[in-house]
Amino acid sequence: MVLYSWKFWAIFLLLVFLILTLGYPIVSILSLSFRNGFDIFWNTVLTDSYYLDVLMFTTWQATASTLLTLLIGLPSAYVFAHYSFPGKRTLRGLTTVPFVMPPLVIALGFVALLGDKGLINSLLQTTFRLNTPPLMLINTIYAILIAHVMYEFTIVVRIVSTAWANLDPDIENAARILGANRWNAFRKITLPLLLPSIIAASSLIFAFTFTSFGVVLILGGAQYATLEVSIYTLAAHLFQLPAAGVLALIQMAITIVFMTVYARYQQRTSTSFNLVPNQAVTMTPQGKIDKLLCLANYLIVLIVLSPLIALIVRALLSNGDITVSGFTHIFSNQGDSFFFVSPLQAITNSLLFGACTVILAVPMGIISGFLLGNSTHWGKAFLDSALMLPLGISAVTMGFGFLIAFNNGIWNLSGSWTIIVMAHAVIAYPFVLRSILPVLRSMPPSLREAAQVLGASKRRIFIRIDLPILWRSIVVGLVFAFAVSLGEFGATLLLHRPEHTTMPVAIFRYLSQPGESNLLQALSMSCVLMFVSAAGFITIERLRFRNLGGF
Amino acid sequence: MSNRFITINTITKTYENNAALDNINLTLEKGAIVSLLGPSGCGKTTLLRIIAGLETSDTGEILIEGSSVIDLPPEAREFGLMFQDLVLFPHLNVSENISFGLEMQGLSRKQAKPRVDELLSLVNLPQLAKRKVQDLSGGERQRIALARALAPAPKLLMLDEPMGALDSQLRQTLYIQIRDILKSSGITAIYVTHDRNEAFAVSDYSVIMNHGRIIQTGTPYEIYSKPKTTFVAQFMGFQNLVKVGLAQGSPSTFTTPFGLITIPPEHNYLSPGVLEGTLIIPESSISFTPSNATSDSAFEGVVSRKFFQDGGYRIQMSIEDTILHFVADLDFIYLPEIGDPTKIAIDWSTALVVPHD
Repeated sequence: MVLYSWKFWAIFLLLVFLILTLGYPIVSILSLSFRNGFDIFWNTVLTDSYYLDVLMFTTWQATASTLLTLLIGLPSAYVFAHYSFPGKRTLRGLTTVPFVMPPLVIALGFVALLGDKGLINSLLQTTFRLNTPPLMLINTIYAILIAHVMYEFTIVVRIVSTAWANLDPDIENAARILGANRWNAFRKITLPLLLPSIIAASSLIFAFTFTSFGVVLILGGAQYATLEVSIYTLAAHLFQLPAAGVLALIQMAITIVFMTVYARYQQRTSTSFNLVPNQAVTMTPQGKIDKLLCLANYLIVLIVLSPLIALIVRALLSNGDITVSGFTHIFSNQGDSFFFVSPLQAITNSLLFGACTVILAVPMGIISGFLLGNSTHWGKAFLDSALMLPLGISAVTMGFGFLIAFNNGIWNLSGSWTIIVMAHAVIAYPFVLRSILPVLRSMPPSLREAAQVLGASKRRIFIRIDLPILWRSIVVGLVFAFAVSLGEFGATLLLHRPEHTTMPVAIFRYLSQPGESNLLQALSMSCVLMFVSAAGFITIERLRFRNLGGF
Repeated sequence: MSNRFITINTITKTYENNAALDNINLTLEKGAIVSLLGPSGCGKTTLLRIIAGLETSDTGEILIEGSSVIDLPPEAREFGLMFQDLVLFPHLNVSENISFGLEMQGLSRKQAKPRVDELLSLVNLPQLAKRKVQDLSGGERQRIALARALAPAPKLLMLDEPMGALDSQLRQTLYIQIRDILKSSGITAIYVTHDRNEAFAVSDYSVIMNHGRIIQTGTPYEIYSKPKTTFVAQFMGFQNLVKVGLAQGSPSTFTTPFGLITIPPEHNYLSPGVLEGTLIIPESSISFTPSNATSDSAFEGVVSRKFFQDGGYRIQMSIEDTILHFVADLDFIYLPEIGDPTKIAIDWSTALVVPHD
């Protein structure tokens, strides 16, 4: 009976989850916005040149960020695809760390490296005997763009290098024998075949940078407002909820478009022609050019990670002396009256929330994966992007939606531990989905058919065939989800009670108080966050099936 | 010297103490089709890739009409290569694939069109011009890959196991067609395969390779009637191979499991002083004989296997711990069953003795 089949209950569970965590909050925002009719739509927003300017700015900075990330990321993707060099897996794992860091940590790192008193400026000042710091990047558009490149670099590297590594190397050879020199072979053969992955990466980066919030607010300053910042300002400061809702709707619509494009082109890369095993494509560097390229790649990744490295350096230095006082303080159990919880408790909270997020997000991601399965038409791509909506909606909007959705009657979850887990889970589960989907799609249906013919029921097939093949990608998704939960800031800030303080919130609190010791503790907590994430990502590099998954 | 169109000299290639190619020498006349024949791993694909310029050799020289190409990159050598897995460009349609080489020579798509049409007719697929390569059948893809390789009129065309992905019936049809196409284009070609029938049908003569070395060169008949080593004999399909020793004081009498056997002296291919070799008994020299026959060419044994193939019964017989294979003469009075003791006659006048490898 259909009513009692596993498939039915699984989809039912997924629907409940999505409605509660995604549908209901979004609908709440929308009904709040439009409760006075659609006039607001026209009058406040679409005709107000201020908001049109905001939209223009948001679009252009997202475009610039995307192009810049491609510029720096494509050469790196080439090296990762074609060479096996020492530390390759570690390096690739490390590039993912910025992606899950809260914008505060990125900002701290940025300031530590490129701020007025940062490493670079200090170095330049002492070397060239300057009186004022030569690089004034904070509160400029460059800070925003650079921070975006840091965040999204790993997307280009992962998506494009995977596709590149899966191209038949003989295809360029065939072109060359037909008379094409290296450049023509690249331009006419390799590039068109790489285009789907480049488009997929670009769409994803555009969607993320379009909805950028923390980076713009902290590193850009008051003069730069993206759509997201406007939504936040309207909702949290000006209490113009309807206008905020309208902007949120516009942003959602634009994001869905780009996510759909991403999903469609992602499918195309995973069913790419001429799939060959990676071993055939990657080689150890042989000649001078090979070695130079690998070296350049190390340099590129180092530069991308440099703000975070600067952060670590700054965490250990105080007034010129090496110190670990920040670390010792956060691992002590002293209660802090400002927090109500000790730093250690904040760390524990983060880990617990992470665990709960994983328990919820992983099954939901798996079910979504099986639901989407194997089809390549636009309908499913749309469903794909709808399921990925949380990635496109910024955490602030999500948190906002949760706030107004669950604040009265039987749904009064405000300030509870549950609501935070729900918020984290809906933000994290798309990563589980993205990890298992490529592996799921590359499983030939004949595997399950063979099992069926040998007498296995659907449940048995799932346990004995699907899970053993998928478990690695599930672990990858799990670690991703955990890391995302650890670094989640925006929604948590809006939804938490003091006893639920997490690491990112603690960092924020430390920074809102003056003084060197508070700064050191913020930096130290940031380091802990980074190390845990890095450890997770480096570990899962060993588990990735043919380097698929993650994006 | 004037008929040496392509010369390949002393090509050696070693991978980590493994000699992939050992001192390969080859010359081709213009318009000749030569097959490189050998088991997987014998180095034939490596040689092809070195000639094409996709890999470099440790030593050696490659000359076209006397001038060296060994330092030229693949795009400058004017060679053609048909890959084992065809490697059609998936984002281009059929005519775009075929015109690619011509575009690299500087022609526009429009200028290339007559030649593209010419080639599509040559391979008998003019209706597929606009088709996507993903929508082609195996045989069609193979012919398009051939058309693409022929389009820029390369000086030398190399084909690397082009029949690999096709079923055997399609293969037979296609390799005869390939020979016709190659001959009508007048192109010089090297055809690599592990299938001797394919090699013999397509090429003018064959070069047999094993473990990176050239073992024997010749026309099919030459190789078949005088295989140089046991390996070549096995590769030619001879199944009745028996180790034998030269009997003392005789030019062509050998001690064999069948007793002392004398073969025609001109069939003894052992070098002077070599006392051991492999006796090759062609299948056609074996036949059933009445059980009351007595002669030194009649031997008693037991039928161990019998099955029908291509119009006759293939028999495996066990004689003196040796298994002999042959095809039964259907005119014989009765055909024995498996397990029956039977007598066979062997005509030693066609037997050969060749050296061990």
